[in-house]
Amino acid sequence: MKRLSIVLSLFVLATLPLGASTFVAMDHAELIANSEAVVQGTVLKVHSFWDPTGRVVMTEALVRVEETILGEAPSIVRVETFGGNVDGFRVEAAGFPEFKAGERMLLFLSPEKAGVARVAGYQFGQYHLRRDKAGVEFAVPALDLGVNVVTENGRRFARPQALRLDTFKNQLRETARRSGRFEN
Amino acid sequence: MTKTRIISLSAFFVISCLVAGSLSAFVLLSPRRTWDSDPNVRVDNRGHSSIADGDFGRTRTRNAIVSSVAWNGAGSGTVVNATVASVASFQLGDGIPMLNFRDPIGVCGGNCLAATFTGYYTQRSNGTWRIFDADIVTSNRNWASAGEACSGTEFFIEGVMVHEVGHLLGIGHTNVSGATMFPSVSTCNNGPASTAADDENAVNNLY
Repeated sequence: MKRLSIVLSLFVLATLPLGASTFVAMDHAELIANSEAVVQGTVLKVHSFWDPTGRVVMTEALVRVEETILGEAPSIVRVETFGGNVDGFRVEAAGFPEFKAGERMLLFLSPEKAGVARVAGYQFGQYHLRRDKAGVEFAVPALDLGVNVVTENGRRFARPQALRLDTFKNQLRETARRSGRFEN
Repeated sequence: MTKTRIISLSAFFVISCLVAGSLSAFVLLSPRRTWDSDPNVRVDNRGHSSIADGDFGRTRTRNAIVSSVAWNGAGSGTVVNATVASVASFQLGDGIPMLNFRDPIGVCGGNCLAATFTGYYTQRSNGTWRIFDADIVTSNRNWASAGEACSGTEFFIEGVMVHEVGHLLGIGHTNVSGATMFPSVSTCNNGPASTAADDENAVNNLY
């Protein structure tokens, strides 16, 4: 546990802000309400490209779904995010999900458009999966320090914490059950 | 060296970094980067339709950006200009910093309020980094401007935009609560429109 804390601390230090954007805080219930599926999987392939307008660089990741925690999802999902690097032209903005081939993650997926999903709540809906030395898997929030978080209706904001993956998944299922979402 | 000692040293290193970070408070974007001359932010002359100040917030937003209680009053003189003008030619990386109230590239929906793109910088011959563009887009959520009534789901455009312009100038987030560059604010809190000592230290460190 001690070692995991150190690893997580180093992870936080390694994700100091690149830029910044402002997002309204979303809790798990809100993420679930805005998701078509919640999946656990591995990023197979990532590529960046100019969007058809030529104004912006997008990145698409192919994610192999290992487990669909809530909702329904195909065995491989295409997930699109904003930003990336094309021939050395880089677009960066904090708060947007990032993908690297080989990474394992848990994603809240918004409804697909033309076969491509996005991550619900931007980085709020993305968790990296990390294993400690004992083999216990943790879900580590992707939310980086470059994100300016605003809260509505006087709510207080606490940055999400790493949780044991099995505990986290149980919490999500319970939240979905209480909200009546994904009951089938 | 034993494993325990390695872990202890690693922990000491991490804690030292965190303590050092908390002492210096403000954080500059990495790599450290500055503009060659004061950027002139083009503020969308259409304003934001949700702002009911009779001007859709465009003038108040522009005035907040250049206000003497914000970045230009920090002690380094004028560091940013702003002009209400057309943003029809909006393009990331074109060297014209813009604030576009309508998100023409469709990146800021859902829980996104504003996105600032700071990835446009190149290295000078002396090894330092030069910013050549930065653009801001806002979502279609409900905003208010100073002096307007504000509901529990609205955010003040001035405070958020002064914060975003801090990033445009090369500043990251601070851990000093109450500073413009603190990374969290609640609805109807326009405090970030006025910079604090920590923000001033950041901009004076850069310019």
